[in-house]
Formats: sequence, structure tokens, C-alpha cells
Amino acid sequence: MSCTSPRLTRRATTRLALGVALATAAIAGCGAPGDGGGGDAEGDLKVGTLFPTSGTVAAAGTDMLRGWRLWWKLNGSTVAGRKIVSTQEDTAGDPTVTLTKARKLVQQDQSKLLVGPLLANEAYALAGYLQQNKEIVGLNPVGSSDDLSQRKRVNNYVKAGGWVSSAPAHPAGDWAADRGWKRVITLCSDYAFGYENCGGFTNTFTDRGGRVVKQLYAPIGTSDYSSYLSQIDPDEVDGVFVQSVGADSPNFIKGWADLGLKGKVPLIANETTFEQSTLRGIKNDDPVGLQSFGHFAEGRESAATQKFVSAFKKEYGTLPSYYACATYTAGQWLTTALNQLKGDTSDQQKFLSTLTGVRLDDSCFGPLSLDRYGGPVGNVYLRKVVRNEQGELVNRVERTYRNVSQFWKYNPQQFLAQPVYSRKYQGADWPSG
Amino acid sequence: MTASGWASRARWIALGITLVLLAALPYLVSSFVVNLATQALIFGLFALSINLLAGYGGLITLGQAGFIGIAGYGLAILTTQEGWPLGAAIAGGLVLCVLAAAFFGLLLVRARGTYFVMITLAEGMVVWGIAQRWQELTGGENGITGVPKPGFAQEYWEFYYLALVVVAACTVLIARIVRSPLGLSLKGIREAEDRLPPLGYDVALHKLVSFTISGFFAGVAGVLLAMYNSFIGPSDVFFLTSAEGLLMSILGGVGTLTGAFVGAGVVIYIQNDVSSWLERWQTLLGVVFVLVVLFAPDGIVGAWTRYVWAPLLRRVGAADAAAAAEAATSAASAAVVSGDADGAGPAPVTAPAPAPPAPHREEARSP
Repeated sequence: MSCTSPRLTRRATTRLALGVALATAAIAGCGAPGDGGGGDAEGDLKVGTLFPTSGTVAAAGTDMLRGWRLWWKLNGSTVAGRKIVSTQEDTAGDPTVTLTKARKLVQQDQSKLLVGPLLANEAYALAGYLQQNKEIVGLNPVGSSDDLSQRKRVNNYVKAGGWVSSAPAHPAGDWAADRGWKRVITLCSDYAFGYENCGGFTNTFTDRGGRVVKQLYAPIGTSDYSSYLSQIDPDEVDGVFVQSVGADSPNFIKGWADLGLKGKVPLIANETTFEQSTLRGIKNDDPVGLQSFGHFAEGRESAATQKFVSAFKKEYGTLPSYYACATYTAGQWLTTALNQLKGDTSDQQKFLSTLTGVRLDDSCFGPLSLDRYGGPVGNVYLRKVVRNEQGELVNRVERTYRNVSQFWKYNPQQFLAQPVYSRKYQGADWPSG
Repeated sequence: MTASGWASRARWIALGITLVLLAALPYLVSSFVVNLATQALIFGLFALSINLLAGYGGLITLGQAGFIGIAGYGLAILTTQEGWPLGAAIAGGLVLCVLAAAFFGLLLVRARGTYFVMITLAEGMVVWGIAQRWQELTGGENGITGVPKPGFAQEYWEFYYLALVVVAACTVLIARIVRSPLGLSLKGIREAEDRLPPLGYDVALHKLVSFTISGFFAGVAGVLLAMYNSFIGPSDVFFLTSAEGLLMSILGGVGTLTGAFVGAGVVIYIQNDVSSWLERWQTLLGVVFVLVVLFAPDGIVGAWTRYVWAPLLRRVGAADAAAAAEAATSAASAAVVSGDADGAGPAPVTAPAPAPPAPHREEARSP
């Protein structure tokens, strides 16, 4: 039946192996492959943007793209004689896809500058890529993971318009102590971003003698918060610190109101719980009057913020989230640096030191600069959700903390000697005494 | 005789041309495409490890990404945290992976059909859970960056050649396993699990050994992936990666060696290149998959065999070779795609021919 006798197969195999070996040798003789040319485009500055416009964080990623485009639309895409040419790639909220797209932007589109991405795991993946490809400069407006500007810094990955997860939570703990809270329950997302938010709050709150009596963690994608919220006994605590993110936030807000905790238990939340991409979708008054700490407040009464907010509203018909402000500010950051360099980015070291030295007197976040570790120094706002004249839910500024560092009031060296905030380490016993 | 000889020779020639093209690839296309090809090779090997179980054994697994995780994380932790040299860390990661595969295999040797699928899914989720939650060891959600590459494979094209050589070697090994007595008894498990014990086969042992072997090859893919990306994270271990591997395998054609690579190539291309200009690329991926299952249930390679290769063979007079080629893919796909893989009943009626060719039958008598 089968005519392929073993001997014939073996002979064929030998021949095949020989053929392949010869062909490979011939190819190897040609020397190393390469893309041939490419090089530095004289006039245009090619920028690759890595924003997730599909997948679980598509809504926030789309806001990133809108903010980035809005800056160049309002300010013109030619800076100091150089035209900024942007190419967008969708990272789908996945670190592996982020890496593939970064390679594509660099190798195929000849991008010298990468902007993005969104999630911390995507940002870490890109940081690893940038560490190995020092000739590329990265701007990181959204990826807020603490260690990106603390224990795992990559110096060609600049937090332009960026932030640090635990930075707005540090003043929140201090504020809670100011209000005389003694016993608090924290509720955060069960992953790194949640640990860093709860850690920031716990660290400063316990420094002032407060006690965190219970720490609750809800997994990402929690649709029903009642099993967590029912563990909060109003008579037992003075207040609750909450962090939620993405699609979890509306669910938390609904649960908080439905279980009758609103008005009964004081609440302080983080940036993402009441940010605009959450508030946009809420039609009732559940969030009205609730307070949070964040580095962005669309209701901030300042020319820079209001110019951005009204332009965004005009262009896209909705109020901007901090994701949009972040990429808009990254555009402002790049423009400022290019103007200082008179458009000359040929010296990589000089380009990087100019980027890290940028000081914005005002932006949609407020004044912004970087500390010597690459962590943003800027305003943190105590915000309250209110309805504006148009009936939209906005975050109004109640109080401004100026020049907040990622290290709060701690000594940077001592702070960095501690591990990054995790489920285990929340800074409750540090610094002791 | 001569026609069949021609048929077998044509296969070798086609294989040779493919290999030469693969070897010449970095000289022919842009670096981005070479990177996609590297990824397709790695995921092709991953899909092939699933195919070894699903295509040949009818044992559908949804936890295979767990082995990518164990080997990949093993390598990442041993190099970045324990300071092991790369070679030792690769070996360490693979040993861990094989041990874990053997342990997981023990838990499911008696399971069949849906239960087998569910247990593998649970095992994969356990690994994912550890990757996600054991922050001190795995970096949690953020994963581990800075996994080194071998010194001789730093450039993108050098790494491509490394992947090509490793994946080719693994494919040859898998091809041998498939033709070995073990492979034949795997097909026996797929076709009629109940009939094997009376014939003296230890079904549990066969399942355990093949599950462990399959886990090892998924681990090799995991080691390559971690080095290629210099990164490993929970999303690489998530069950979606396992499902993607299974889809690649079905898309290309289960029960064939080339199918896994064709399927991986198509998925990687749509995911990474089409997505640049088509916003609805996920819809396209879904449509392609539905079309393949509807109109070419034995996958792209199966369709190729049925509509191009087999008619060609018949034209030159090699009707028996053509029939054998067709039978190999359709029997496997009938067992996997139609969901009739619980092995509870006799061989699926849709399977047109018994898969193991008669001349090899006597080799199949393993203890």
C-alpha cells in the first residue's frame, strides 16, 4: 500500500538535510540581514502612539487617542520646524501585543518616539523593550505603576504628563487623619494598582495614629459589590477609603447608594473611582456629593484646564477624563522640549535631559515637572462630584495640595528602601515611631 | 508505484522549499515581518503541543498556557531573581514544567471528554492564579521584565534563527512521537478509548505520558516566548492563550503537523498586522474561524489536502496516497471539531477511515 519504504525515506531525508544545509550556507554567505537605510528622517519627527482602542480598556484608550489628537489640532503639528507625524497602534490592553506593536512602530514605521500605553503591565513590558533599545525615547502619560519611577526606572521612558498611583492616595490618608478618623476600612481592586492606592492611603493614615481595621480586595470585573460593602459596619468605622477602576466603578457607586451607605458612612475615594469616563454613563444622583483625591479635576477653575475641557467638549461632545488630559499634556510636554532644543533631537542624551527637565507652568493637570527620579511633581486635588449648569456630573476642586511628590513627605532614600506597596506591604508599620 | 513514489518525493521537495524559504526569510522581508514569523513559530509550536493531545489523542486541553507560564516564569525567576546563568535557568524552567505536567497529568488520567477539558482548564487557572496573586515571586499583574536572551541571539534575525532551529527540532521530535507506538495508541484513545484496555493497553499511562510530553513542548514555547519578549506576565498564562492555541490548531487543521503553524501564522498576522488598518480585526478573526469550521472542518491544511493536494495525487495516479492523506486530517477533525471527543462510544461514525495505516499496526503493541 504505502510505497515509502524506510530506506527511500531515509535517503530523501539525507538529501533534504543536505539541500537545506547548502541553501543556508549560501544565505549565510550574504552576511547579516538588515532593513537597509531607514535612518533619521530629516524633517519629520515620527511618533508612534500605543493606545488600547480595543479590549477591556478601550473606552479609556480612546480618550487617550482623542487627547493626543486634540493637542496637535489646537496647536499645529509643526514644532520648531519639525512636523510631528503620529502613527497609532492598538495595544488591545495586552502586554504581548504592546511589544509587537512597539516593534512594528519602530522597525516598519521608523518611529523614534513612542507614546503610551495604558495599563501598568503594558507599561512594564514597554519599559523592558525601551531598556534594550536605548535609541528610542518613550513618553508615559498614563502608566502609573509606582516602580516605573521608583525601583525599576528606565531612563529613556519619561513620565511626561504622567502620574504615580500612590501619589494622590498619600494626601488622602493625611486628610482622613485631619478629619479625626481613627478607624477605617479600605476597599481596593485586587491587583497592583489597587495595592498601591490602598498602600498610599494606609501608609500616611497610620503615620498619624489611625488604624486600618480591615482591608477588602475586590477582583477586577466585580459586578456586584454588596458582598464587600455588607462587611462595613457603620458603627464600627469612622470612614472608608475606596479605589475602583473601569467598569467596576459604576458598580461600586450603585452598590454604595443601594445599600444605604451613602450619607451614613464618610467615604473618600481615589482618582479612578469618580473619573469622567465613569461619571459620563451615570444618569442618577448617586455620586453627587462624594469626595475623592486625584491629580486631575475637570472642574478646576484655571485657564489651562478650562481651555482643554471646553475644546474637548466641543470636539467630542463629552467632558474629558484624565486619560485625555494625560496625552494632551504629553503633546504639550513634547512641544515644550522641542522648542527648547530648536527642533534638534539628534543628540539622544540632550533630548532626554531636556524632556526630563521640562517644567510646565500650567497644564490641564496644573503645574507639572519631574523629580530627579523621574516621578511627576504636581497638584493633587480633593474633589467633590457636583452637577454643573448643563446638568453634567463634574469633579469640583475642594482643596489643592501643591507640589506633591511621589514620596509625599518621606525621605526618598528611606522610602525606596521599602518594598513597593503590595497586598502584604501597605506601609502600616513604616516608618515606626 | 512510480506515481506514489512521485507523491512522496513531491512532499519532500515541498518541505525542502519551505525550509529554504524560512531560512532565507530575514533577507526577503522587513524586520517586522521577521518578528511576526518568530511569533508564529513560537505559537505554532504551542499549538502543535495542543494538537498532539487534541488532534492525535482527541484530548482537548484548555490549560496548556499554564505550561508556557511554568517554564516562562521559571526561566524569568531563575535568571532575574536567583541570578542563574541562562542555560541552567532554561533547563530549570523546563524541568519544573515537566514535573508540573506530570503532576497535572496524574490528576486527569481517568478523566474523559468534558471532564478532561474542565480539569485542564482548572489546572491552567491555578497557574494563572499563582502568576497573578503571588506578587513577591511573580510580580503579580505587572509580570517580570528583563528576561535575558542568549548572547548569540540578541538581534531580531538571530533570535528568529534560534526559534526556527528549536521549533524545527521539536517538530521533528513530535513527528517521530506521532508515528511511534505511543502516537498510534494515542490515536486509538481518540477513536475508541473503551476498546483499548481489553487489548492490553494501559490507557491511563498513555494519557499521562502524552500529557507530560505535550506539556514539555508547550514549555519550550514558553521559554522561547519569555526570551523573545524579555517579558512574561499573567496574560501569557491566562486561559485565553490556551484557547487561542486550540483555535490556531483547529484553524490550521487538527491532526496535522503543518496545521498548527498555518493556524498560528493566520492568527498572528490578523492580530498584529491587519489590526493596524482594520479596526474590526477581531470580527474578521471570528468570521474566518466560523467560515473554516463551516466549510473546511478539517482546517486550512485539511481543505488544502482535500481540494488541491488529493486531486493532484489522483491525477498522477496515486489514488491510495490521496485517500490516506484525506483520511488523516478528517478523522482527527471529526473527533475534535464535532465535539465527539469523549471517547465513550465507538469511533465517530463521521470518521471515514481508521487512522493508523495497516503496515505499522504490529509496531503499535506497546506494553
